[in-house]
Amino acid sequence: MKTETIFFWTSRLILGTVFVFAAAGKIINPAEFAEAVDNYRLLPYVLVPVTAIFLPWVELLCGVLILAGKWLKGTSLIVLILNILFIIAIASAMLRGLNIECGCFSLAGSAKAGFMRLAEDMVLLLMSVFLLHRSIKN
Amino acid sequence: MPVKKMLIEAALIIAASLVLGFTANALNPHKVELSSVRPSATVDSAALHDSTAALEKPVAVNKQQLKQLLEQNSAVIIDARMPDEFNTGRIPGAINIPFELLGEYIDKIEGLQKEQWVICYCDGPPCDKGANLADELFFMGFQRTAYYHAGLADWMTTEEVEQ
Repeated sequence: MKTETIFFWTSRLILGTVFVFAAAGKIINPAEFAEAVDNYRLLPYVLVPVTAIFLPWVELLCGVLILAGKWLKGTSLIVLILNILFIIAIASAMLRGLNIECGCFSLAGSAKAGFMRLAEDMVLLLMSVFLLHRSIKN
Repeated sequence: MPVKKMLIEAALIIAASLVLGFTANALNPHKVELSSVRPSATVDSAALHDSTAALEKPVAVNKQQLKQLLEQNSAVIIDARMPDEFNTGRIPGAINIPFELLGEYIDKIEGLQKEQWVICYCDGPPCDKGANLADELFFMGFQRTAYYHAGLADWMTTEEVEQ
């Protein structure tokens, strides 16, 4: 099996699993996720509840579709954009010295927005770039 | 047309997420309320006069509480708007620390006592510079920070402004 194919399957497995896992806690408790989004102070408050309601479902649908191998062009585009937005949000929180929960995965005992989360999102971004490239090529 | 297909797929996912999200939220016991005003911890009037009260985060005060603090000279009122807005009218006694120019006002911030109440405000909803400034000051070590979210618009309904 070619290295590219192995990386394609690995990227799908990791991205799909991470996005499904990330969505689950937020869907169960949208009010808590809204607080995590608001703590970044990047959005006017009127957009915070809408983001908290709709973003976890985008993550869930994208995760499931990536794992199932369906609609890979659309899902990898969304996942790529989301990862860019997550990186900007975490980097801006770090630059402003905000000591806040990341709100990235499970909300209970969530890690701080910091270098570790930034590095994870960059790896996910690379995978989503590859997935988008590969799905368009095919 | 892979690009067209990609955009259609993405749009369908977004649309489905909106429908699923709003439906699930309506049924969820932990649902988030659609609002343009940030839900905030409020403070009872007795706590405003307790010099040992420690806050976990900035709190919201209403006009009555703000007036009490002003009458007792026990708080610094901070207008978080830009200087030109501040100069057109402000809550009497307020000083100006524009949220957007925070870095240029560090000396002024360092001149404030960190133990006293600092109350931040701006125009009123949807402006949230007052709440954001209160957050920043809290992170800088001000122990008793609050914001008057209803802001200048609410103040002017019954009170005078200083020019």
